[in-house]
Amino acid sequence: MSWENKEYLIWLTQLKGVGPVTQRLLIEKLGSPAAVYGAASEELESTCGLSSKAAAAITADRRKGDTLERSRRILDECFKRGIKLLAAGDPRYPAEVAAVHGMPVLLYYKGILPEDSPGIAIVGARRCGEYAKAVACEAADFLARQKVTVISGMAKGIDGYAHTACINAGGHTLAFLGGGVDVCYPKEHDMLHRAIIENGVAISEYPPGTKPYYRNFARRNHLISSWAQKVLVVQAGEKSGALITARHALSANKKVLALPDRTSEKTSIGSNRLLLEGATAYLEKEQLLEGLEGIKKSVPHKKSKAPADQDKQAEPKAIGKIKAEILRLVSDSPKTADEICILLAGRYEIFEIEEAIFELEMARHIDRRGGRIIGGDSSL
Amino acid sequence: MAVVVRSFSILGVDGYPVDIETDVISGMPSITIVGMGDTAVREARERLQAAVVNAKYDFPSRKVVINLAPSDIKKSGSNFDLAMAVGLLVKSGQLIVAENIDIKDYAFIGELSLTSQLRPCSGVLPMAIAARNAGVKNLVVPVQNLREASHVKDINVMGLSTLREVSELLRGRPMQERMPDAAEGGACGVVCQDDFSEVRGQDSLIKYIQIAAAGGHNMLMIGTPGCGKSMIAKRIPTILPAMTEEEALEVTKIYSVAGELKERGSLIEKRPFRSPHHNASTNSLIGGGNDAKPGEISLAHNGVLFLDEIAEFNKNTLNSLRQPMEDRAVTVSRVRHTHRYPCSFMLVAAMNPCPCGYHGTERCKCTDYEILKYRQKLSGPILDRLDIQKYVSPVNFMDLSGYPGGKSSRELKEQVEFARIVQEKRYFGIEGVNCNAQMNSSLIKEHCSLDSESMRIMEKAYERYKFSARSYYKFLRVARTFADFDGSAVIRRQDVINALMSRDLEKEECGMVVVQH
Repeated sequence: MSWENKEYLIWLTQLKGVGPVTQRLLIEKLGSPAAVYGAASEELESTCGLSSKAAAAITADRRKGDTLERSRRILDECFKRGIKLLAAGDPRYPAEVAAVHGMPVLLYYKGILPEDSPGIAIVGARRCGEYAKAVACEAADFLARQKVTVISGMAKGIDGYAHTACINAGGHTLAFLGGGVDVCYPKEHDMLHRAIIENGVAISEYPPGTKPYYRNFARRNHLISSWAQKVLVVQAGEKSGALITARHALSANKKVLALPDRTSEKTSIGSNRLLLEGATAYLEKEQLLEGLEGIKKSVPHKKSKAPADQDKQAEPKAIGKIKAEILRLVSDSPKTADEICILLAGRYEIFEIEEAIFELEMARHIDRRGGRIIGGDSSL
Repeated sequence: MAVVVRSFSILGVDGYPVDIETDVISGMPSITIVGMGDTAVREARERLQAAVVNAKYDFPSRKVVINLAPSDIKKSGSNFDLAMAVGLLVKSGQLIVAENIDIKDYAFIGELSLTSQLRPCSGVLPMAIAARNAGVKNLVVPVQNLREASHVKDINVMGLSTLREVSELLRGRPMQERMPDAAEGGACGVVCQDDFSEVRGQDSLIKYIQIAAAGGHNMLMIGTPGCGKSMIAKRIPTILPAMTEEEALEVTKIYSVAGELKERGSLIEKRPFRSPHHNASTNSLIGGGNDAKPGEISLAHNGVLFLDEIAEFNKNTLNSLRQPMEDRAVTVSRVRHTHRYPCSFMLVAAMNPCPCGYHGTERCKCTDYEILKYRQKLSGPILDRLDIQKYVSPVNFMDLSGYPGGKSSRELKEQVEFARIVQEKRYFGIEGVNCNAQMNSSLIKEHCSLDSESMRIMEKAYERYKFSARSYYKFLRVARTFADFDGSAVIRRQDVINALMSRDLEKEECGMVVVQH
């Protein structure tokens, strides 16, 4: 196959009424997009078995005259914005993805796309809870440190957290967009969008400048599931787009992990139901790497001893005792500093309690969320 | 020869003398007022005519010319009516001033009604101050403005109610002395005030509010809807130290000019509390308009400016606060006026933590990116001027009875006043610095040295929360106030810790899952 004349390829993908399956078929039968452009209507019908309606659509479009001009404009736009084309057959377009029925013959991308770029998809609800957020971040961080690419859709919520945690851990991330790769959606992700292009790649099957139409997102989800070796659904509501990703992956016999959550949680109905539909319950991050080929399991480096330990010996005993009590209090439910003071009042001085809270915060044993103190990442 | 009668007008928040020159010359019967008056001044001739006739005097049937000198300053308002009437009566020989009275020792302020009654007008206090400064011995004002004007010492203020009374006075007839109504004053004093004892379960927040009040720090309260931000803000003026007489006079002056003196001109003794709505325009906040009136920030002078939902304010409007906050005065320039209004206020702002408002609770599903975007509505320079940012946690109202009652405003105020006195002593003789928030870098170096232990805590906190470099001085200023609060000469370890806990927003943002730029 010759992929030389890119404007013909763009022309072909921009044709109305001709889907990716037909596009691929045409190129295979006729040799190149340019040949498709040059073929007569009867040739299209007889050699490629196109319906007369589809063939007529192609020839009609060709007759318009400016149709190639439009493709060239898209090409210029790509060149100007540093957007590259990725056609099926390119070594960076994984063959197993291209083999999936209905995958686009042409993708646009911006950023760094290495040849071997499959990874693990982390997808989920736009409106997610604290727990789901923490799980998504932990998983993305873990994958980044294991040098596994994190794939997601740059939407609000779980998608955004997965990309962010991956980038912050120095990993490589792949974002599939529902619009042009230069269009940032949602708007507040503009910083993330830039960071993804610097530390990974944004991919889309839509030419630059395309607005993210809602109907584009189902196809984008299909792309994510084809590209990923595994899919982790962190949280998904009853009609979440993440379920589309998961179901495509399931039907392609890929492993789908879903995070079990409370049955009362509305935004987790979809992900919980996935567990019945063949997904595996996600319980620990090591599950993400199981059965992955070509990924070296680096030995998880132990956390270096925190310098806080040295301070601990120096501090007075009373403070240590207050700290333990505070940790016990906040482990049940988040509490405000005032509530802690009231609960511990009488036994300790206010400034002692304040100091203890401060030191716990410094050592990341507790954290604050909306003014309340919550338990941090490790206990004393 | 023309008769000259003295009166006063307002420029900015200060009064200035205006000489009303009246002459009656031969010509067609008419009355002309010159001296750059506005419509209210020009219409005075109709009022004048009717009032003079209704007071049983004759209006001269010749040409009357009245000049308001200096003639090159635009004048507005109806407060020249009385002086014009007096000038006219003297000139036309219907009012013969007693021999022992020199009309130059008198000044007249007041509007005339058609029935020749005197009507009150705005801006009497600054005019009275200007009168005293100009060496006027006796000031005649409408009786309704008597209270307001009599706050000025060293000048004899007389409140009269009709033009007849004024002419009787000048004829040398003894007048019945009218004193400001005492009963009215009493009624103003018993205004039932909000008190901090009604705020429960917010002890640590109230401590920070005290610190803000004591050190003159600006403050931001962040909290979910209905957690009590506005309730607390409303009570802040009750713990601020009482205004000195000089301060009270300044405030009353501004209110007088703005025409907002409600309690019949009594001196404003309560610190002002202004809470403009978030759709306030820049001009209404800063001051301005056609005739350049003081804005909300000047009306909050020596008091509290409370901006509720500060994130909803127009960005440009907020940014226009920057320079006035720094200078503690605002210069409003219009084509014809340039006025300088004082605006030394404590800024207290309140906002929700996130777009939905319920950050930190289960129901909030805002993403970190959305939250950051929401908070970016507050520009860096404004956030920079808010030394203390604290979360207001909602109190579980079912448990309210379980919380111990809060301290009363009076107790809190005493502590604040104590810390203020400490600061006053320290900054005695330093121009433009009254409290810790106003310390410049050289003063900080002088008064805010930390010991090695505190230094280490500071370094650790910076490492943990990645505070910006410019916040360093803020922490020192706040720590200084914490030390002053307990009467400690040096900044102790616990002061540093408390100061480091005063920036909740920045601390939280450091923990957010967003890409670093």
